[in-house]
Amino acid sequence: MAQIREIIGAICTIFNGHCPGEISPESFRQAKFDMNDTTPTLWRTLHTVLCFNTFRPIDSSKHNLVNLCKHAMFQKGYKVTDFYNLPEDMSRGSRELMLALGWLMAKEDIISDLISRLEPLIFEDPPIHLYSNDKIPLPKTLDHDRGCERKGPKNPAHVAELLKLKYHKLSLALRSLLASRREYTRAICKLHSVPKGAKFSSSSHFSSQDIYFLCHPQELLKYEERVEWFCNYAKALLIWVANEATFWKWMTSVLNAKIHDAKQTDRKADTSNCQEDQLLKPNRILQKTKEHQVELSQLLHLQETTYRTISKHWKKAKVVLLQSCVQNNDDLSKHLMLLDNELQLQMTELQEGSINKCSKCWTQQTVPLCLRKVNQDQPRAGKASKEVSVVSQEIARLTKVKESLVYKMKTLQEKHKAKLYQVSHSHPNLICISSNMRGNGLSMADNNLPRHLICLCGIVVKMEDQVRFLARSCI
Amino acid sequence: MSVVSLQLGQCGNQIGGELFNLLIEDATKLNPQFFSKSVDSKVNHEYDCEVVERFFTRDKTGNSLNARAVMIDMESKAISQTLSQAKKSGKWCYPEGQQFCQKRGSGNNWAHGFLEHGPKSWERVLDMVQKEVEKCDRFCGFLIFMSLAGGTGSGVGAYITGSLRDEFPHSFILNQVVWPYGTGEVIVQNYNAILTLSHLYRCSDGIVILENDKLQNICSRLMNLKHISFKDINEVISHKLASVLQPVKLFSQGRDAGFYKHATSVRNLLGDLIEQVCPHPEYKLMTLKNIPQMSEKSLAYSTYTWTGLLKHLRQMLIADASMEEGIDWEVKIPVPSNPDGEDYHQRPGELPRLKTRFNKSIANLLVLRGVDVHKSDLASFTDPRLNASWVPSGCATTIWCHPRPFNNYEKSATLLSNSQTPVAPLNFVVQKAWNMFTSRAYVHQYLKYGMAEDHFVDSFAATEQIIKSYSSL
Repeated sequence: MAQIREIIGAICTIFNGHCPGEISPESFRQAKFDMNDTTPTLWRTLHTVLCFNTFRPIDSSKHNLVNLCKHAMFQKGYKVTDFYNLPEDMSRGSRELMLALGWLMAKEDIISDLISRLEPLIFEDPPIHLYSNDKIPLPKTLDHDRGCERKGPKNPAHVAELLKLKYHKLSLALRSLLASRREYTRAICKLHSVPKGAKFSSSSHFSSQDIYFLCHPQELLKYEERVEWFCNYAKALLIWVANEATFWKWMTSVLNAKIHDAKQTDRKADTSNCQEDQLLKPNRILQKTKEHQVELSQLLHLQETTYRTISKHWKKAKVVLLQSCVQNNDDLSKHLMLLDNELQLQMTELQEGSINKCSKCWTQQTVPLCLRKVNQDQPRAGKASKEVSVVSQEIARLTKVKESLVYKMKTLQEKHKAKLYQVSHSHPNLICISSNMRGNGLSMADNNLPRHLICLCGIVVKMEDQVRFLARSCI
Repeated sequence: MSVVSLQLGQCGNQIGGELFNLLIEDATKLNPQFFSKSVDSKVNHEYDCEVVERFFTRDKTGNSLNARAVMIDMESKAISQTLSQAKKSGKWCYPEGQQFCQKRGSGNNWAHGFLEHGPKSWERVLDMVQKEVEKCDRFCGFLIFMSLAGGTGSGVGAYITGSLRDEFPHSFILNQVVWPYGTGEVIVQNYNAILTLSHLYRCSDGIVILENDKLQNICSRLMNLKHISFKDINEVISHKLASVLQPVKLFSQGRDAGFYKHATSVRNLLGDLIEQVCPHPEYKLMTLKNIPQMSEKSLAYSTYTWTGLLKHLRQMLIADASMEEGIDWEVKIPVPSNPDGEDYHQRPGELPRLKTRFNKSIANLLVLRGVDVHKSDLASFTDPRLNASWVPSGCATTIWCHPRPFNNYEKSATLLSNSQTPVAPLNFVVQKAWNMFTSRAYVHQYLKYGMAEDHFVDSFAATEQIIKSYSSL
C-alpha cells in the first residue's frame, strides 16, 4: 500500500506542477470511496488535464468549468452517461470523476503532453540589450526536444529519464557555480584586506585609488610595477647606507688605478708618439713641441754624462770627506776632552782656594756661613749684611771665572765653525751642520748616527732633488 | 580548488595515507627520461603546485606540507600507524589536532557506529572539518575513504556523510568505498554493506566502489605478488584513485602537444567529475578500470601504444573486466541494424559468437596520462551505443588528459565508469543479506542499539531499487 501511495503522490506532483496545490493522494483515496469533499478538486484537475492551454472560461464559475469539461470529454469520445449526469454545482460524483480521469490518462499520452508544457530551465544567454532586472525570455521549445539528438519514437520513460539527467546535471553545475560564488566572496574578502594591510589604517574600506585600480586592471599592473620599483629603490638605498665605506675604499683604488694608468699612458705616449711621427704628419704646434721635446731629451742626454762624472767625483769626495770628517771628529773630541779637563782642573783649584779662605774666616770669626736666597726687596740688617757681602764677593768672582770660560768656549766654537766652513767650501753641494744645530735641520740628527753621516745624507737628498728638477725641466 | 578528505576506520585511514603519499611522490618526482618539450620544468611546477593546492596546506613556515584531512576511528591504532608513516616519508604529514579516536571500537557493528559512535562524535568531527574547510581558499568538496564491511567505516562513515550533507548542502561529496571480499571474515559484512550503501545513496553525490576480490586478483596476476598484504591492495587502490585525482586538462581531438602545455587545468575537479559521471540522481555508483598495471620491476621492460591501450580499455568496459588479463573478447556491442546481437558470421552448428549482453553505461570519464597523449584516437569511446538509449551523446563520455606521465608509467589510461559493473556484487550481497535476514541471524546485535527491523527492510528495498535501475539500462 505504501508503494501505491508513493505512485499516486508522484502523479499528484505532476498534476500540481500545472495546477499548484490542488490534488493530493488523500483526494484520490476519498474519490475511491465517492466522498464529496474532493469533487471540486477533481473537476479542476480534470480541467487542467483537458484544456490547460487551449480553452479558459471567461467566467471561471463552477457551472462553466463543469460544462467545459463535459464538452471536452464528449469530444474525446467518453460515452459514460453517469459522468454527464453529474450536477454542475460540484456537489457529488468524485468516483465518477476519478474514473473519467483514469480513462483520459489511459487513452491519451497525458504525461508527454504535460511534459511539453513545462517551462524550460536550460536556455541560452539572454540578449545583450536586456537589463538585469528584465525577465529573461524563455525559449518555447522544450529542453529535451532541443537536446535530444536521437531520432525515433519518444518513450515517455526515456524522456523523463533524460529530463531527470539534464536537470540533475544542471543542479550539479549550479552547485559548482555556488562554490565559485563562495570563492568570489573569499576573493572579495581578500581584496578588502589588501588596503588594511598596506596602508596601516584601521579601516578596511577601499580608497578611491583602490576602486580606480579595481576598475582598470591595466593601471593596477602599472601601479604594481611602480611599487615594485620603489621597493627596489628602497632596498638599494638601504644597501648603500650600510656599505658606503666599502664604496669609498673602492673609489680610492679607482683613483690609484687612474694615476697608475696615467703614468703608463705617459710612457706609452712617448714611445707611441715617436712611432706616430713616422706614420702621420703632425700639425705645427705639435711639431714644435716635439722638436722642443727632442731638444730637451738631447740636453738630458748631454747632462747625463756630466751627471755621471759628478757622481763619480762625488763618490770620491765622499770617501775623502768621510775620512777627513772622522779625523776632524777625533781632533774635536780630543780638544773637547782637553778643554773639559782644563775646566775641571780650574774648577777644583777655585773650589780648593775658596774653601781654604772660608775655613780661615770660619776659624777667625767663628761665624757660621750659610747660603740663603736673599730677597732683594727686603734686605736684612745687622750681622747678616756682613755674611751677604762675603758670599756675594765669592759669587762675583765665580761669575767672572765663568764668563772667561764662556768666552774661551765661544772662541773654540768659532774656530770649529771656521773649520767646518772651510770643509763646506771645498764642495758647493756639501752641507755641514754644526754641533749646536740639533733639531733644527735634519730630523735624522735625532738618531744615533754620527754627525758627518747625517751631513752626507743631506748632501745625497739635495743631489737627488737637483736631478729630479733637471728631469722635469727636460720633460 | 581544494578537497578535504575524511579518513574513516582502519581501512579508510590506511588508504588515505597511501593516497597522499602517492600524490606527493608523483608530483615531486618525475623520471628524467620523461622530460620533453611538452613536459618541461614549468609544466612540472604547475602540476606540483596544483597537487599541493588541492590536497595539502603549507604550515606557517611554508616548508612542510599538511594533508587536508580529518582522521576518524574508534580505535587509535590505525591512526597512530598512519601518522607515523606519514612522518617517515619526510615530505608531508597530517595536521595536528585533526584526529578523532576513541578507546572502544565499533565491533564490526553498523548500528553501533551509526547510532552510537556517530552522533556522539559528530560535534567534534564537525569542528575539525570546519577548521579544515576554513583553510581552503577555494573549497570544492569532500572525499571520504571508508570500507563497507566494518563498523566504524560503514556505520560512522554513513552517519558523518549524512551529517556533512546537512551542514554543507552545496558541497560535493564523493565516497570511496571498499567492497568486502565475497568470503570475508566478518560475518555481518553483507548487512553492513547494504545498510551503508542505502544511506550513502541518499546523501552522497557519487560512490566509487573498489572490490577487494578484484584488487586481490590484480595484485596476484598483474603485480605478481605471492603474499598479498593490505598494504599491497591499498597501493593499487591509491594508484587507481590518484590517476583520476591528479591534475588534468580537457582533451581536444586534433590538437598538438603545445596546446596542452598552455591549456588550463580542470579547476573544480571533484565537481566536474561528479557532474560528468553521475549526472543522474538515481545512478551514483562508479567503478575504476585502469591500464596498464604492473610491478615496478616490469615497468622498464614494457612499452605501449595508445591505440592498444584504448582498445583494451574499451573491451574491459564492455566486457566488465577489472584488469587487462583475461578479457572476454567475445563480447561485442550490437550494430544498429542488428540490435539483438545476432551473429551474422555464425556457421551452422556453431554457437553464436556475439554475446547479447554487454556492460552498459550512464557516463564514462576517461583519463589519459603520458607521452604523446595528443595522438590518441578516442572515437571508440564516443560511440553512443556504449550508453543507455536515453543518455544524450554529449553527456556520455568525458575525456581528460595530461601530457605528464603518471607514477612512472610512460602511458596510462583510467576509466571512471558509471556502468552496470556493480550490479553483480550488489546482487550477491543483497541475496546473502536477505538469506540471513529471513532467519533473523545476528539481527538482535543491531536491534540492541536502537535499530528497527524496518530499517533493514528499507535498506534492502533501496538497494534492490539501485540494482533494478542499473539492470534496466
